[in-house]
Amino acid sequence: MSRERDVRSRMSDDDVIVGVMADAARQIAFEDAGPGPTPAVWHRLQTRRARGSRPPWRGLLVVSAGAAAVLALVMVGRGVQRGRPLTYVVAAGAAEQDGYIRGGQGKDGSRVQFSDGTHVDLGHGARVSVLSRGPRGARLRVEEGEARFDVAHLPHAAWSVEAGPYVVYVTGTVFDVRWSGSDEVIEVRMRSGSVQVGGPMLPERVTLRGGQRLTAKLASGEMVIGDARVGEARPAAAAGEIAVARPQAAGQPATEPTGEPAPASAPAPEAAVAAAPRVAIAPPAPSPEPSLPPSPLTSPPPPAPAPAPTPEPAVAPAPAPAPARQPAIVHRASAPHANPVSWAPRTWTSAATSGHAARVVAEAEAHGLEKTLLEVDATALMALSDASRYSGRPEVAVRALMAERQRFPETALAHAAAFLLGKLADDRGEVAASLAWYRRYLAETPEGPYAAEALGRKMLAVERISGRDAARGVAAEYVNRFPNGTYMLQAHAILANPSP
Amino acid sequence: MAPATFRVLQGQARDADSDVALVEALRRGDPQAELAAWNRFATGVDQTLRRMLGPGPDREDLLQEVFIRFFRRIGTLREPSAVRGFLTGICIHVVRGEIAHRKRRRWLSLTSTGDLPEPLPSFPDLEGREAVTRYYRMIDKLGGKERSFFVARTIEGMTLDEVAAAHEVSVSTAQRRINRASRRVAALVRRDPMLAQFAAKKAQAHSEDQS
Repeated sequence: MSRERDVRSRMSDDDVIVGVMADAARQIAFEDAGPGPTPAVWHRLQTRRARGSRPPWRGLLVVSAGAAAVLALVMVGRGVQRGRPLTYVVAAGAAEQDGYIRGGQGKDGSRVQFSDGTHVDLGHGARVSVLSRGPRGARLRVEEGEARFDVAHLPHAAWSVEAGPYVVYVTGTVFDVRWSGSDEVIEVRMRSGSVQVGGPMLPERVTLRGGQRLTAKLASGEMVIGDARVGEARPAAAAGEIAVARPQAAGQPATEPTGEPAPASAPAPEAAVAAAPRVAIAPPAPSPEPSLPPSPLTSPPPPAPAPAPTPEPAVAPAPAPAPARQPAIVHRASAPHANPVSWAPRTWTSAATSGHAARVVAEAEAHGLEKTLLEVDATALMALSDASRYSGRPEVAVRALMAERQRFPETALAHAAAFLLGKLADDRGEVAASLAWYRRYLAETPEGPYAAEALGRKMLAVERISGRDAARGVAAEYVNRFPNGTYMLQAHAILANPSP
Repeated sequence: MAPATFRVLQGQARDADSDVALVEALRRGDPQAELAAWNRFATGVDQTLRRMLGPGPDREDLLQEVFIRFFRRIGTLREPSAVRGFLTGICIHVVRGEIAHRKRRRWLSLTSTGDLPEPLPSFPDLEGREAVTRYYRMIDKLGGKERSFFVARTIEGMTLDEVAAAHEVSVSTAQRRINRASRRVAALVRRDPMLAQFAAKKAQAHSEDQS
């Protein structure tokens, strides 16, 4: 009887011990969890999935390689020094607190020196964290502010710098990263070497080389890749850079050209489109090839004819102050190509995403743009369109996309081209035209990969043209179809406040 | 006026109905559904992994692995409303793989714990953190299976039925393994002066709170 009591008592004690330790474990897990995974993790997950599944024989290779590695490790023994993670020292002027390294307020900021020679100079008030360290590099995160990274160029160096949802992959180079959490703006300025940047608005990693600068504004969807030196001296939109910038809201009353209800007092479509900001780009040079529209920039989308292009607005624009209306497109960055231009359309897709967008456009122009648009395949056309957008040549992008639709109708790329044409029209502030393209895209492929984006943009376009009441139907559809979508907040705002 | 092109929003809806709708969207291949699933479940999965593995560096690779398996196997989920349990089951398997991987690393003596070395973060409650870290190391001494049963029941707080289902064993088998692991862990805690003292202090504080 007494023994049974002992056993019960012991059991109860066991439960208490296990219980209090489990409570403590849960508490620590809760403290460590923070706000949860960052958007960058989702992006990297997508990248990892995009790499594809392993071939069946790879398992055997991995096992063989693993066995060889084990053998090598056992032979080398425990004295291996190379496997040790890098160490770092936070110099005077910086403070390490709560897992963050904070830049000092002094004139020179502060430096973090790594054992492989890499150093990070923090700007005033900057906040950086070291997420993890390995023997050949570290994962760093710019939480706020600006920092310069001088990464030692060593074999197999593996460094990455996160800033918001973006990741900069580094091997050896000097570059600056600035991140503003409140504005959701990242800026990467290259000093030397090259890096790859991945994140929102970049379907694949983009390579930046010495002297280039990438600026992405998440809130407004702007992405600029340009000359770093220009940005230091002048505002981004001033001159000399590749830019795909979004104009300010037009502000003028506009009319909804098709479908959605519009106020009776709304002006005619022509007036609405003409009042939108214009693209400050000269029309393309005349070409002997007559088969494609000479200036698709101004060609109307098929379902809703847009007004004919004119260099000047048909109706005088509203008297908005000049600085508030940035041109949608800033002129091109790079100097004209001096080198002989090759012709390899099959390489355009990789070239466009690896920092050679200007080369792709140069190739197409050297070959003859009209001829190119008629000769290359659908993939190359899409690559040319991407390269043109990255290079600040939206007029070429529009022509490539139009060719895509004309030459390869009913294909997935042609459907995607409709969406991209809408985006480009959006960038020019041509709301009615963009709306027509989004409608076309949604009609052609209601479940397509850009459906959520197209529906969200359609909702905003209707709101801009015809007001919130008219946009309610689209907002309700958006919330119903994409309850966690990017435009969820705007959709709920439209539904909650019918008349702003 | 121009909208954001991409932003991951933390989902708010957590009711079973929307879970079902989300699973159905995933099965249909709706490209937006994956992001919605991430928004809804990533934070919970992250916390589950932390509870199962204990203090340490970010387990981003494991979080990714859970979602890769989730998206790949969503078609095998029989009851869409049980999607959270389905995810927890995946977490259990991923953590078991990680524990086995750690043991291999420990065998190779790359590090004393099998974990990759990381900088020690500075946090409050250092005593609790140290104790919990030691506790997880102790739990790691259980076999991979037993550890999994024990953590799922005691730390993750799953019911016996859920533990049994996740490990594909009977309830009585799950109960037996959990009991055995609990006895062993409690004995190990008693033998560790630091942990014994910490547990006694916590138990006393707990009883004072209750009284």
